[in-house]
Amino acid sequence: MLFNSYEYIFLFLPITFFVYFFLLSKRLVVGAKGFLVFASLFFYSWWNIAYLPIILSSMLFNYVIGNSLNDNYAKSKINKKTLLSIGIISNLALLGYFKYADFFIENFNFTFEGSVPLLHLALPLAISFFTFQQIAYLVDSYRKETKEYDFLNYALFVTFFPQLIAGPIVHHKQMMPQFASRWNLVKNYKNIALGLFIFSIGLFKKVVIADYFATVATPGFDTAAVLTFFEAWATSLSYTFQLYFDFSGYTDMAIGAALLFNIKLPINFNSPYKAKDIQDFWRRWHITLSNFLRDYIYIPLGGNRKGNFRTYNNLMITFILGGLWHGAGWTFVFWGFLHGAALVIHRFWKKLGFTMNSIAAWFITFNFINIAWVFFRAKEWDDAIKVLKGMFGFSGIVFSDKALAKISFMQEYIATHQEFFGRLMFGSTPFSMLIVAFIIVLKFKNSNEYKDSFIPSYKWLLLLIAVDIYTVLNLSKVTEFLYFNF
Amino acid sequence: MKYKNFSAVLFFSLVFFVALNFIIWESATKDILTRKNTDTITGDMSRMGYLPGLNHERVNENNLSKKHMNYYDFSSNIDMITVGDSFSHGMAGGLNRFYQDYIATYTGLNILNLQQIPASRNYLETIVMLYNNGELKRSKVKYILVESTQRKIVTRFSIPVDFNADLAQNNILEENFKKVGNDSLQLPQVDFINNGNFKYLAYSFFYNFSPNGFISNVYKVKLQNSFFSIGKGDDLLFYKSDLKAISKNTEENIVEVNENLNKLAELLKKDDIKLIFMPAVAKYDLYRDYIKDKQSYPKDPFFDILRGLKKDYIFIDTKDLLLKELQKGVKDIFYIDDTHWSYKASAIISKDIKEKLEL
Repeated sequence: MLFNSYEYIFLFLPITFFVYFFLLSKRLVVGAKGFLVFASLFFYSWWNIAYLPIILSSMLFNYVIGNSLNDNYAKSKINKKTLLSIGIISNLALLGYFKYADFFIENFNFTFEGSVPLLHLALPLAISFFTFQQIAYLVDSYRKETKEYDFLNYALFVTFFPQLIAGPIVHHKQMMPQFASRWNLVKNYKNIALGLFIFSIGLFKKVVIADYFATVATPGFDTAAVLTFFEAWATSLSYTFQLYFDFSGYTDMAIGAALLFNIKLPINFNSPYKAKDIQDFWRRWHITLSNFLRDYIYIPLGGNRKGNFRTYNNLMITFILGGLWHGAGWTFVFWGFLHGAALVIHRFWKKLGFTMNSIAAWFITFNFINIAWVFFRAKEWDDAIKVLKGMFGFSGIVFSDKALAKISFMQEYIATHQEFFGRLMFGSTPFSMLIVAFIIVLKFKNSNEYKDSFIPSYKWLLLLIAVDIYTVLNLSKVTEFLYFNF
Repeated sequence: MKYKNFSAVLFFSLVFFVALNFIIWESATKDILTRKNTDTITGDMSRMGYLPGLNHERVNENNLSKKHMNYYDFSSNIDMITVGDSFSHGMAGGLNRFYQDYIATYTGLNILNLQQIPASRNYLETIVMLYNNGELKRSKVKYILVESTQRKIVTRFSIPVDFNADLAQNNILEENFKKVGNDSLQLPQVDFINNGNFKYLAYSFFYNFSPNGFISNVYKVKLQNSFFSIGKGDDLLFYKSDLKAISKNTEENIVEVNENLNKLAELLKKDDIKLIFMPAVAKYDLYRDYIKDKQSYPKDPFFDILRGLKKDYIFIDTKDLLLKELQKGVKDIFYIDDTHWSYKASAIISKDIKEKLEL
């Protein structure tokens, strides 16, 4: 079930919350945690119960391997490096099989003119997330950075429903102590208030803002044959904001839901579109992923400790793999490549001691990110080229009817250059909404900053009630014209 | 404010909100926004105006001896092609919802209903494309009937028509026909928590102060007589756009429409095809003179202007035909809850078409 669904908001979440704390109030700690694991697995199975054995086996396997690697199993007869390798390879093999098998087969067939049939496997939900989480656990177990964990706490760490489907990617060091702590076994009204607060903001961001921009971005990317200049910019910027508000909204809902249970999830976004350079962007965007890539790929490869050439190589490898993690497609790989290249250039620039005016720096950074997202979003190369062609004016410039009416002094020019003018695919509303989105992301605090400075008051209460009602009503909007067939 | 109080008030506010939605849904909006089953229809006006008390529930059924062609009956023997909007696609629902079935029954003609070809700018251009492509000749079509709701005629037909438009595509009819296979009267799924519940409350309140509740797209006014079989029968529901469209129905625009129709008629004449133009009279325009407070509502000059123009096509004056029935006191010419006419209107109009075609 989705976070922005009635069954989650009004049934699953409140029932889970009340039953969990009811069991805790009866001092049934194991029962309460067991119930939370059950609820999380129920949440996971809601999508498709066929996925359940996969996550259960993955969890059990990694728990056994992890505990075999940590200091408490010093008597193990298997070489630890071998055990770690088995663990990592098994996890990657699971991920590779479900997520990348068809990608590799397609490329094999293309390269060698083969005709190996595709497997068309359904991708188990959240496999990228719980695989990465557990790989991190195995590596840290090998490094003796983990303790012996109770299986129930470990199961909670892997399956905890607020972060299970779309992160944040949680680290066992952050999570296990929280599940084990006795202080978290009692209802905490501050956490409940903060949880409801940030959950509401996240829901609003997802349902009202992100879903609006999706209505502009999706036809532009997927169905339009050609995009003229303004249409292309509206499409790309709409996706840029859709992705941010959707993902950060989802993260806010995850953080909010977790707080209800006294669990603090790490933040994942910190006003990324305020970034003034690409390194800054990656410290603000999908923070938990970039931390994972840094700690488990970039640093083990040598980080920046082996000279400039190796550093640049390590950056490229890390980000290409990061691109591939997002999706099994060359557009994702290319997106990763672009970001890797941008980081390399940034490092080189800094090494040379250059600086830049902050507005120019922001402008270049934001536009680079916006252009790179085109590859991230496009289903095919042609879709990406279509959008970019439009953005750079190669598919003509079209003004909206309203705008044309205002530039009446150009009417004669327009009449004699019809090929450059006409009706926009969408009206002028997307442009107004984009301006609003820019103001929100650049001028206002982000949701976590609001949460950190939150003090309950009647003003916040009324605002939140209004926001919640407005957002929930948007989940099932009745639009009369759907019925009105003319 | 304490965190505990904040959390409790927020939580219980949301619980109250859910409960309120449930109550409104079960008591009112469910009947407006859903249908009992796929064959039981209620009208758009009662839905858009959130007026459950004015629902005219009707079941889709057909008791005519001959029907217009559907996909399974399609053959190359077509006597008449109809192209139009929701009136032509039976969107009113209920008994004998397609006027084409009445024409077919009365005249024995084989009638095929088409969608507008996407590449064409209006129905006239659709016909032009079919003509230039040779489809009409190949199919030996004798009559073309173009229908449009009154409020859209000027915007649809006053724009220039490209009489050289063509489609380099064979079997247009068969391909186009497949798309018109099933005119769905399904409603989208709606959950019990929805903004319609609050629109219902708002409209119910505001209709007491304004004929369209200030914000609704549906006007609800009183008639001098009872013209409908639901309730007292003297409530008229009509679409706001019927009023808005009046400003476009100028002599200049209607002359343009007539010119384009005449040109099309002339083109079709070359292959012995007769053009029939059937403007579907707006519900507002038909009942306007019977509104109690009619001085507050402007007259629509559309039919008066069009009648006075020279025509090379067969003109079906639906307003004149249906006004005569109103004067006889016939009820439910239009459905009270819909912006479409009923089977009664279809029958009357089709008889007129038969007479005009001398069949």
